[in-house]
Amino acid sequence: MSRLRPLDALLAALATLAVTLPLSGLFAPAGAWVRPSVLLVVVVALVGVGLRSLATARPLVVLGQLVALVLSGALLHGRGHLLGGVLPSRETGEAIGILLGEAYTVVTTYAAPAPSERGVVVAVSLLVGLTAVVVDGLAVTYRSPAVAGIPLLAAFLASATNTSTGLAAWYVVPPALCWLALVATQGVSSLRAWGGTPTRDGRSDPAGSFGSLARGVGLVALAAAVVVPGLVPHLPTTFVADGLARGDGRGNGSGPVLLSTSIDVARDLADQSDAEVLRYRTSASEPVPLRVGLLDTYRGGRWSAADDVTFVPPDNALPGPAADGDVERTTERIEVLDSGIAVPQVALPATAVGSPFPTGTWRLTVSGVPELTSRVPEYTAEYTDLEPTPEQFGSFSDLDRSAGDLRVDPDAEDAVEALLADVVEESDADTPFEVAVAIQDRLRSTAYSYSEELAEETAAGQRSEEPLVRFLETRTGYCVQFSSAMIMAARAAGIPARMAVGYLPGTVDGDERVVIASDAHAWPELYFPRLGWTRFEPTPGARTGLAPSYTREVGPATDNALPVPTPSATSSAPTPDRPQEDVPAGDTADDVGTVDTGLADVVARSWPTVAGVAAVLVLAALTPLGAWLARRRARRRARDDAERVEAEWQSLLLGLGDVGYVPSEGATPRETSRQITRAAYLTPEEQEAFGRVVDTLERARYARPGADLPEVAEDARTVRRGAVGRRRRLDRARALLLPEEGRRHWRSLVGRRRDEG
Amino acid sequence: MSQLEPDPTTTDATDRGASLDHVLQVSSRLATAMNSVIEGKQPVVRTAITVLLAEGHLLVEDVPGVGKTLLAKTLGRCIDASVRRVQFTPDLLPSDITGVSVYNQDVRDFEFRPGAIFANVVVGDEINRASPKTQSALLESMEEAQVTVDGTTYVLPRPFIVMATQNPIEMEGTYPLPEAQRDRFMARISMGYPSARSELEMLDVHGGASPLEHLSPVTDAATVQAMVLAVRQVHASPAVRQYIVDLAAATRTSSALRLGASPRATLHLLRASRAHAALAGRDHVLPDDVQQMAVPVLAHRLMPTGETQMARRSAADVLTDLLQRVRVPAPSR
Repeated sequence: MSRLRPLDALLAALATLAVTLPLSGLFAPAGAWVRPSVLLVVVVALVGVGLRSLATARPLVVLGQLVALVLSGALLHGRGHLLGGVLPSRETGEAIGILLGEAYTVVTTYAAPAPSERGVVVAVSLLVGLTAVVVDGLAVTYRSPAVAGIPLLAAFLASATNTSTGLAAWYVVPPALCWLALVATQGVSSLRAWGGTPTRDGRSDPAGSFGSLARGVGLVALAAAVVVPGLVPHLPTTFVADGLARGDGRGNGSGPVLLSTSIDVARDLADQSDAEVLRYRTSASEPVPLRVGLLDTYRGGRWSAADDVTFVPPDNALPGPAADGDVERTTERIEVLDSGIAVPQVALPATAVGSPFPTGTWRLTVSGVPELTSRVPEYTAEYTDLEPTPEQFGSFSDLDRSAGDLRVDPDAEDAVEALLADVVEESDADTPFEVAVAIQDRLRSTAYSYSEELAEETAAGQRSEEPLVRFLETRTGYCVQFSSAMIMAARAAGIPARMAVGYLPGTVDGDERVVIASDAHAWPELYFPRLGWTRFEPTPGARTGLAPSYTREVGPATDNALPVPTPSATSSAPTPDRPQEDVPAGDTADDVGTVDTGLADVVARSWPTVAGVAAVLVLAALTPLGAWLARRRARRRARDDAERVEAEWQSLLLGLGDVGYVPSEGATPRETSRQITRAAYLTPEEQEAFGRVVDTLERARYARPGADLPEVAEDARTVRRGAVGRRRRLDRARALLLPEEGRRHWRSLVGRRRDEG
Repeated sequence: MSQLEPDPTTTDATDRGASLDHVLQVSSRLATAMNSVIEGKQPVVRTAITVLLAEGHLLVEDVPGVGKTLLAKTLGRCIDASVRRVQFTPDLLPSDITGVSVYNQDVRDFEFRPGAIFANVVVGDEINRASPKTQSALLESMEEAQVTVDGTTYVLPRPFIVMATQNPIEMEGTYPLPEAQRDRFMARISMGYPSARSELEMLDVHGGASPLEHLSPVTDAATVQAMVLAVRQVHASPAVRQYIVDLAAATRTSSALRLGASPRATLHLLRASRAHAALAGRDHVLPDDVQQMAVPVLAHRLMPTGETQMARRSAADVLTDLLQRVRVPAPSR
């Protein structure tokens, strides 16, 4: 029986199967791979039990299981390639090798859930079987169930981390329960093996006394594993192995990056890879996003580029902005040091001018986007930073409705119209510019939240298939949704609009800036006759920073308007006719304003986290507060000096106990001071202070009443500080946060309440 | 009756006893004198003085030749008081201890001849060699501080201390003190062998004449009696009394002991602790005093169980454990 261990084998098999649960989200349909996997796990478990019953040496048991796994795997998957229909041969190996190769292709090509093709089924079931061999070998054959947790965890994490969405917290429960049960059964059986002497109450089972404690610990740990992830804010999804199970045709993140301008912008823009895309220097203090392409057709929830005609630009020069000459502008320079963007795409500010590329290496689309014909990793360009005044945006009658697309997606039309009407009504906007800014501000307001994961349902439980409608309902999305919403709303208002895709300015690295793949971004461009296509930024500031400066200072109704940017030496000096002159804003006020808005933004969007943190802080402060109250109460209730000294002493003892200095039970005050002096390495001054405290306490306790008792609080503080200060930081923190004195205070309060009740 | 209760209303110096300073002075003189004779045994000397001031009796128990008798004799010599030494032998009669009424031909009446016990300091050598009858005569007078012969009660002089020695090794032909009688001794001490250095010094200094010869008394009986009265005034707070009671109770409930401390032991422990506090110059007893005196005062009264003895643990070991476990009570609110 002791070698057979069928219960342990069963638990090990169950644990192995439980860790494969998250795989159901990775490969669909699950039915295809579940049956062979279960079969292999059962075979491994049975072979283990059988071999152990034959009293075979442990390595032989594991070896036997491996052989059984290979044989049954071959039987399952290699039919038709078997020697005599039973034995695997080289041919079987080759066949399975091909299938595994297929599996690799599937895994690296498809995003989860990947189709359960034959290769995937073979790979998954063999891996599950291998996990079963390792777990069974460690937990049952070698009787180390705790160690078996490592392969179980590895298998669980490998499947859990590659699902593209967060896994529900309960997924951890079945494997954890199985593993804990495994540890528990073996722990109990090994404890029983100790035998042991019967205790006083006649029980001779040493496992029993530890059992309840172990069960308690296990349950608490399990509960924590389920609850804590729910409270902790979700980190951005990262992957154990880049490219695994979320392939997008772009390989593993290195090599040239191509933003898809036709198929699914969403996927590119949700790219979390931190692969470097671009490295550049710029003269601008407030760099603009770098545009790579334009999308103007929205159909069926997807954006696509117009079939743009390209031509060789005359004079090898970019067209530059189509703004009137009287629009104020500054010229900035951008020097791209290393571009990892694949031909034909190239990243440049939308308003780039001049000839950044050698003749013959590029063409220009009709929309004004340069396309390379051969790779140009380094280039320098100048671009114009326009600073139009609100008047220059013109009135509704000035709008050139033929300049661009005005089509609103029919499915989303109602929702977009509603948004526009709401915004216009609220902001009282009556020029196209005011309308545009009002839309932008609405989308940047706290009513909408930025998330790379789209909400599945609205709070009311409705679910819409049309992404834009869903975004307007759930008010959660990322740049594509924000931009789409703004574009559609602008179009509904009669302002031509299109979507630009490209990269955010990236992060500063010395005097250079680095753009990584996850900086991919989409933003709307609106057409105004005197200005040409003008950039707006409806995506909230947490990701994009400030909105374009010309949209930031207008309108009586722009409640969420961001403050004026800081004019700096490199950007244009403010001119007298610009309205921002009227804003009484100094540099610091601006900064503070920005921070405030940012903070308010963050607070509004993450209020559950903020509330949780606040609750944790309040809870953390509760016990120290109790300690303080207890001390105050003791001091107040002391009827004479003796009781005051006694209270001080008790408080000191509890405080020392918090950091682990506990005198022996029968210690007198003197002995207590001796023990603590020794344990805490008190300095001579602290020893003297302790001596005074003990002396006063002895007189308070044991001398004739009426003795002269000096104040000892200061000395007690000195001792406590000295003793506590020499402990490790963790102990000190615990003593600070969870003082026994405070706990007793609350317990006594609760106890009294109960007594009264 | 000389077992006077201290009267707090009297302010007379002799009644109230000496001041604590005086107690400290005299006792340190006494200790110095005794230490000059008994090398390297300060704790033993200190306990002996404590017992003297606490009006108790001392049992010195150890192997032969370590200076048991010397200790007793030294204490007697240091105090200018009547000192009697009794060598206990099997043929010693109770009347040799208590005294006897003899018919006086001259006055034609019985006349009381006081026995060996009529002295301030009585040194009883090898007390376990006497017959139980004689032993009990001694112990009765020790307890009651009086002797009754032929219907007449004679009060013993004050201060009164019996210092009995006992040899635990050579048991043949001896009558070891029964537990009930050991209880009458306030404290038991063991001399223990001297350290190598003290022994060497002893050979150098005392190689020739007896060290006692050069010893002159440093105090007298009246002073010691005043000190005893002063010790009685030492304050023992309710918390300390509680502690002593708790300790006694712990010895009674301990599973390692067959016999715990008697109420008399409790009383002795309090008195010894008072003396110990006074010797430290304190006018109040601390739990530390109680702990210091607990082993000498209690250990000889406790009887370990058979299991404890088999585990080679003595009553003193058990007591030391108890001291570490019994909580020192804080004053109750």
